[in-house]
Amino acid sequence: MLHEVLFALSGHSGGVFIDKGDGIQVLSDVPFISPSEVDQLNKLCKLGTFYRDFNNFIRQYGGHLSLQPNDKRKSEIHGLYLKSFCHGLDKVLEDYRASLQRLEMEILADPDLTISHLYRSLFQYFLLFPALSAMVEQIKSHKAHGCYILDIVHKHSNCGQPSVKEAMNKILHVCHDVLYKQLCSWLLHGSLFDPYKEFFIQHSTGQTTGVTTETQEEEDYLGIMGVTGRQLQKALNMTLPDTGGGSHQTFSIQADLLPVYIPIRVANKILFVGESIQMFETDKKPATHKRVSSILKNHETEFAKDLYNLSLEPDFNNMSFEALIDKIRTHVAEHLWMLVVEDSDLVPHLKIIKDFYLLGRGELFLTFIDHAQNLLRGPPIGTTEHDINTAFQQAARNVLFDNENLLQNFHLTVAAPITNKSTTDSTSSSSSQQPVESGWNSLSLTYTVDWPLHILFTPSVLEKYNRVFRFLLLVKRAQIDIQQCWVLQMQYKQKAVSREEMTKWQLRTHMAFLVDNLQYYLQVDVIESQYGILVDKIQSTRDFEAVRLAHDQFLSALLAQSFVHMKSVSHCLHEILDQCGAFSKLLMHCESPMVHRELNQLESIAKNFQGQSNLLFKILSSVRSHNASPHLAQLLLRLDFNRYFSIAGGQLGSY
Amino acid sequence: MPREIITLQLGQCGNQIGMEFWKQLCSEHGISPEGILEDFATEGTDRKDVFFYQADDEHYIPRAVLLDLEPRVINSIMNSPYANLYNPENVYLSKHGGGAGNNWASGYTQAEKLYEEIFDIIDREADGSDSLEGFVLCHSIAGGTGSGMGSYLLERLNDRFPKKLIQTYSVFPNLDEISDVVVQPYNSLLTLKRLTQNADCVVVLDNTALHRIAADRLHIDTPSFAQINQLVSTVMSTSTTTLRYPGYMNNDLIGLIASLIPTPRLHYLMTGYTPLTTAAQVASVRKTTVLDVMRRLLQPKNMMVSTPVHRQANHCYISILNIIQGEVDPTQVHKSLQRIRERKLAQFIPWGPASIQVALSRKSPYIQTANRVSGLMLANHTSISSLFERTLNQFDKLRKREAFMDQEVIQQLVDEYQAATKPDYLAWGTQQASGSVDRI
Repeated sequence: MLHEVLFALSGHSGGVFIDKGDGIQVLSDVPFISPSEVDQLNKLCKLGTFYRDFNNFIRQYGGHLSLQPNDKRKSEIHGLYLKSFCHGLDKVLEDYRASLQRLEMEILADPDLTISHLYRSLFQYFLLFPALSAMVEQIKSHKAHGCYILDIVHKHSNCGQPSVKEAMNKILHVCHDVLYKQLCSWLLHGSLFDPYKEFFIQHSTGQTTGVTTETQEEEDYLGIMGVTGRQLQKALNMTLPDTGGGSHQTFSIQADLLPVYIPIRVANKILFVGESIQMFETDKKPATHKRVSSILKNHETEFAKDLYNLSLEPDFNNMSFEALIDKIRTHVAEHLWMLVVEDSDLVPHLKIIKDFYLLGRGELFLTFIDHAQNLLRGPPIGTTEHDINTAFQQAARNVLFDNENLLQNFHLTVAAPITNKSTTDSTSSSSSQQPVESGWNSLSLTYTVDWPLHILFTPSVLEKYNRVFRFLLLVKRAQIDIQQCWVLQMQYKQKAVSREEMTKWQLRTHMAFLVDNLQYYLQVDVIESQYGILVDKIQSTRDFEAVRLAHDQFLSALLAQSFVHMKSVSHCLHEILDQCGAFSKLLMHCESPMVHRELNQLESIAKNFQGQSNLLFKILSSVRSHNASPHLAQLLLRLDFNRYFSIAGGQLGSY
Repeated sequence: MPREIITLQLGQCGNQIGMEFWKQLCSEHGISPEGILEDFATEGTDRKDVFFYQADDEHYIPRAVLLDLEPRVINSIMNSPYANLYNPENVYLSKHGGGAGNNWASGYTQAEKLYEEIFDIIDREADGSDSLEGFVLCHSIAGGTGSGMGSYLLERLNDRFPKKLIQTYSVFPNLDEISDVVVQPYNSLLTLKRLTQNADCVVVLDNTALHRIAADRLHIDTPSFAQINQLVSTVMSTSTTTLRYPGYMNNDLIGLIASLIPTPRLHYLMTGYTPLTTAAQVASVRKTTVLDVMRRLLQPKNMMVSTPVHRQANHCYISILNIIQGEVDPTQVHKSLQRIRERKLAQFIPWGPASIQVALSRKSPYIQTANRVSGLMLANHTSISSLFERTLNQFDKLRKREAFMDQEVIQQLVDEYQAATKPDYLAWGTQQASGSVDRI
């Protein structure tokens, strides 16, 4: 009889113990078993049922893995993690089997043993098995896949029962073997060994991700650090399409696969390391960069050993795990820093970016504006792009810009008019006042970056630079226009000035004042200041990610403080600059004395200018008290330095 | 289009300060006294072509015209190591070599006779530049050649190149010394009229202040010409630094001066410089922040124009441009501006917007200086009128109560500057206009 019990405990039904579908149970009508014994036996049978279920589970999922994930079982759960889970489960059950074996020996030695003895000996499993079963059920019902299994196991290991906790940890430990192997190949070789897509870092799937990252970038324009490893990979895809798109993949963290006990920041670090290494593995350019081939060379074994040691530890230690990841990340980041900052001369490159995109070389753009003024005044036509590039080259030669190679990397493009032709026609015919999109507004500058700086200067980054570039160019043009009028004004040195003339020239002075100070603000308070901060940061760190973060902050500060993103201010400034242009155009071509029509036009320019400057003043002073945008106060300080602006009621250009 | 600038050096003083200016430019751009580009300077990104033109691959020649009516200074230049720097065709000495005898009229009439010859040189220089932006005239207003010939040239340049700018570096006489030139007030007054009516921008170099600075700040009891001229050349070279080193702003002459001059006649600029040291002095390196530099620039003792402090006149700044060179933390600029405004360190005009513009500029890499940061201030300040008043007073002493057209112009200029301290300056301008129309 006791053997029957043991048999049932190992999950088999027999003559006395039968399975009617709801678990193994003792036959209720056996005469020599008292009802109290039935109860006890049924309890024991529960263990048997659990054990049988576990065994079935292990047999079903822990066996041979099909190498084609797309076979008929694809809807079912599968994968390496599941397999190792089964393995772990089996290991836990080992104890149970050993207990049964021991009991059998005891029974053989002493046939008078009671059921109670069995019950007592197996008591601990009454605690363990339901927990295991619940976990197995969860895996089945959630169709748990990959690293999610780790998550489930980890959750269940969070238990006050030492025996349960121990068993769960045992399973977790076995499962972690897979994780560590995958981590090892990812962290040290940048390759994703993951046939069943179980790792929490996955290839991003093509277009859809591209779009989402795009929108995400759009969103974090304002100051939020947009450091995503995806940009890095995207850069690879976009700037080096000719090296074969297949070798470049985008990776991302799969939130649903990431176990909760691995924080997202650690996961991001892991992602960064792998991607960086992958970048070097896939596009090795020997010879040119001496450090490329050796990114981990000296430390590879060390890190592998560390990972291995960590995987041997019975408990998953979050602290030491993160510490190790940090160690690897620091090494990789430092290496990248050396590569980018020292070998590829990041700072001089930033200087170049500043010189060109941010008009650091004022004289070059002064000359360029002279050359291109007529080309870009109207809407761009087919040959515009070629012409302005010629003009740009010409300008560069004129200011004796020697570095031909550098110049080759810059190319001006004019976007085709976005508005379709019919609407443009209708608007221009309906009101001649309506400005047609001029070439200046669709101008952008492209810069071909050398490997590996494309990590920083991605197309989306360059597009942001372009937005600042167009705005700065607009300010510069307004300034030049207004200065040209000054020459006319100076001819009144010998003549007396009439009242009308005086107001006209004061309007010019006020315009010039506003534009000049706007430009000083942009160049000194914004660009020079932020650039200084950026260079300081780059030089004070040895971590590539910090560099990237600093650069992103630099760029978002530029965009924010040059009001490119502040619709109200930006619109206002554009209006003001347009009025400056119109004023200059009027004065350069008007008859003297001005005829009635011209006077009217002047008056409307003055009115507009007053209105917009007043609006600007209101915007600037209304937010002055807020700490959120101190740069508005900075601009106001310059514009209202002698408090004339505020005394005049926040209005420039008395007319 | 480099927007070239042609420098005209007139008379003894003009040629002396011009000489120092070119010395300074040569050393800043790494050009040897023979005009050869030094080996260490071939990689520079500076813009030599604004003030120099290239004769061949390595030869740079100043766009300078040297004019004098007497040979002494030009000969000394021609015997100096810099003799081969200039284009010999651009050096013009009047044939009789007698000078102008410190007489404005003599300088003016001699220049009139030499018109063809002088303008041959100037025209040739102008034709040699792609897009001439203007002229810089160096002269003194008290002597004969610089004042007389200078006045004549100003008038003719205006006629001949109406679209070109004319900036002058004008040395005002030292009034603390008893001048050996009795007619100095005449010369000054006559020249001032032309400077007012024909120049676009006059940088005033006041010899009185220069000597005071040499004595008080540099502790030189009897400063030599060379030491004074060194101060002048520092001012001149620094004020052109944004033209010569590519930067984000003030890349051409008009950009530099237009923002400083809101109305046509108020175009006299004062300069201030810090730190003031001579070559011999090794500056004790003081802590120099942007605020320190800007504050020191606002102190009268660093100004190169000496103006008495009128309590009642309420003199004020019309505009200020600070050019700061050296290792500067750009984030400090805004804080400094804020501090200056809070502490009311500078008074500004009440009738229009005005501010302190700060341009951060590069420094020549070839010159080692002890001080990390240096600054130049170009300021349009109404107290400059006291300089003109001084001249007028002296003139009055010479010729009591004699009506004189030119005197009137300068008196009006003094009045205008004083009016500019008041809020109703703009109305004043138009009243004057209607008044003068009535008179005609």
